[in-house]
Amino acid sequence: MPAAIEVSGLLFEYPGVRALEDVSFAVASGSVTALVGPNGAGKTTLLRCLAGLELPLEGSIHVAGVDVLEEPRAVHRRIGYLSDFYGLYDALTVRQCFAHAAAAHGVEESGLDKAVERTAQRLDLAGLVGRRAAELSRGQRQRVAIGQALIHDPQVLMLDEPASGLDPEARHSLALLFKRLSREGMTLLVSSHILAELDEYSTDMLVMREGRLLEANPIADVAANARRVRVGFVHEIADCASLLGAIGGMRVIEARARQALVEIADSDDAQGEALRALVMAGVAVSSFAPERENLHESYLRTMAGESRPGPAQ
Amino acid sequence: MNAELRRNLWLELTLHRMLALPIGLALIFMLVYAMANEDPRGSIAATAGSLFAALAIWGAVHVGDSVMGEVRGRTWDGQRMSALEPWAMTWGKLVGAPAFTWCGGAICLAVYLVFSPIASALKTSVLMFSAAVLLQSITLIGSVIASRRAVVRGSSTAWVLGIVLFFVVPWMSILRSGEADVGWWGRGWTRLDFLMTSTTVFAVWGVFGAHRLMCQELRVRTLPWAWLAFLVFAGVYISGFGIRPNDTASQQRTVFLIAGLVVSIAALYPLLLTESGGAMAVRRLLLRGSNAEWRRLLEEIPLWAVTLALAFLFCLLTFLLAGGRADSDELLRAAVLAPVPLFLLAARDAALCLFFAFARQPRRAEAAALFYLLLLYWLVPMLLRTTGAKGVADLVLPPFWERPGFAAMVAAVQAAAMIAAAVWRWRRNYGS
Repeated sequence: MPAAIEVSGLLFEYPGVRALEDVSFAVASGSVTALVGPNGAGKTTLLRCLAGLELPLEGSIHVAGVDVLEEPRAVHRRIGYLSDFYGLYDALTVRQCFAHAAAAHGVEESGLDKAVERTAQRLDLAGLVGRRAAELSRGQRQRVAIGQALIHDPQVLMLDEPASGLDPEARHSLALLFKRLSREGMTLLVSSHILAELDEYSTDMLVMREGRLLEANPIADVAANARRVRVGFVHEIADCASLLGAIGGMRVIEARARQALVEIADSDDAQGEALRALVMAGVAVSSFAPERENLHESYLRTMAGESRPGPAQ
Repeated sequence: MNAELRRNLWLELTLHRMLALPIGLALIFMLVYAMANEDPRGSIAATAGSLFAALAIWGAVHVGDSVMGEVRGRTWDGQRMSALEPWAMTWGKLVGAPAFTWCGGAICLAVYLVFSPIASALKTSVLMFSAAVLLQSITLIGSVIASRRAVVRGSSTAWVLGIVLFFVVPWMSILRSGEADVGWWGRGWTRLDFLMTSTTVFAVWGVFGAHRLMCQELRVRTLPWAWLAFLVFAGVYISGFGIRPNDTASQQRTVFLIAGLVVSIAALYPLLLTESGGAMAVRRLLLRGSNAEWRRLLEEIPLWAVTLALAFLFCLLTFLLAGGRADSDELLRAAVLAPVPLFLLAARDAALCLFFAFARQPRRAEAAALFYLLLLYWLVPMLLRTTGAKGVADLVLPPFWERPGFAAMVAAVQAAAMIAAAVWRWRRNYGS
């Protein structure tokens, strides 16, 4: 799959602070990439550089096939960007906000009404288009801001903390929207602190800390490489860890009386052999299921220093 | 339709306002008519002119808020990323943000034209219109610069009042100072014609300047030729006042070169104190230079550096073309020697500003630089002269007019010391 975003050797400094250092990665077209990291990691600076709002000291950035540093105006037409501290024109109605955003992003006059209607539908705001932005709740304002960022159907949509201020139901709707946009071919790069929410729709993950990129991996690879299996037992096992440890071909990660999490070599044969060994050892197995490492666990593992080199780097 | 203009019209032109405005103005003019003792035409025209000025200032506040308000409201990033061309954004703001006040202004101008008893009412109206455009374009420029400096906490009112006080009032006061002709480039102009033409030309420059700044905000890659062109134009304009009808081409050239130097140095200080960047801008330039990215270097070079280079060019040309030539005019002879110390002091001051900007965590670098500039140019020399230490005072503020050779040596030492200090601080804090 061609890369929608390609970054190489990015360097950005504020006076006395190196905000980004030798950041390189690629984001595949149609993917939903979670950009995660602690506060001050450089996520917002990275997004602003990708959006052409900040000029890095060194490096190259290509978004949607356009060299951002050479043609920042061209890339503005191809992307949508929602900053973490966004604003709305409070005196305008939602319809006017959308119409202005569409016109300002180059949507033809004849297509404005259609773009407004479609975006209002997408964001569940169809019933609010006549209300002024100042009269909306925080969650509704957030949805209007997201709508403004995607009203021109950008090839790449970059969102900084898009779900902050949304209630769980709205977050779920947003996750569904992001999945739908991804299926339609849009590439999304989403920075958020809410990892559980990112886990719902992300296909890839970028982990940053102190201006450096620690990991850039497809989340599917994380699951595939994890080879972790959760085993359930029919009866309680008193010394589960010792019993499992004595059986070859697996490493015990977590052991309880009625279940355990083990790591097994990455092949069907190895897993079949492990299951056979458990049964031969007299263990009554009630379940034997590969378990995907979720985003939160992967993030914590990366932040703990267990970074793996990713294929995208 | 221009999206920015339409957004502003949505905000500005409500039905209620469009009904209330003409009614309010009509009532004011009726009151003036009723209160006038004899011929009411003069009173009505004067009222219309005053109301136009007030509306122009009010409109300028709106123009300023069309950028500063966006920064405060966190919508400016969205504007910067819009697909609107810089020119569309510029005139969308210049026309749209003060649209309501322009409606009132148009009514006032029409009333002024109809009721003014003076013969030159049309020219005065053009002057008033141009002055309003000039004020509002300068306000737009100021608000874009303020948005870069993150000094947008308050409303634009203070900015506009500052611009009115420092630019417009002195300018317009010339109109009231008499009816005598103005001598410019050896030619006589009637005062009103000169003011009208000058104001209109500077209004065009103001709009063009706002457009160029908007290009930068919207990330259109630009070279600094427009700024250089403006400085040269300003040099030509200012030198026109110093050129007499019988001056030779050589004398005219000398006056132009000196005026160009003065304009460049006068423009340098506001740039040094307002342009953002500091250490990062210098690091960027060094990187571009080391990578031989010359076009990028010219795109990213701060305007203060361009201005200083132009001042150097004017200084060099003045010295080479006029410095060694005996001139019968004592004033002119002194003037052609003064540029060297003047330029060297400007270079010292640029290095002083950089010295503070090169701090590891520069806070209030411009304020610190301004403080020391005030010490160097005013407080310390005045104190030394007051206490009778004129010789020491001349070492602080060299007498570039009376003793240009001595002043050049002192200024050269000061400039070298300050440049060395700035380089030392750069190497210490940003050398890696």
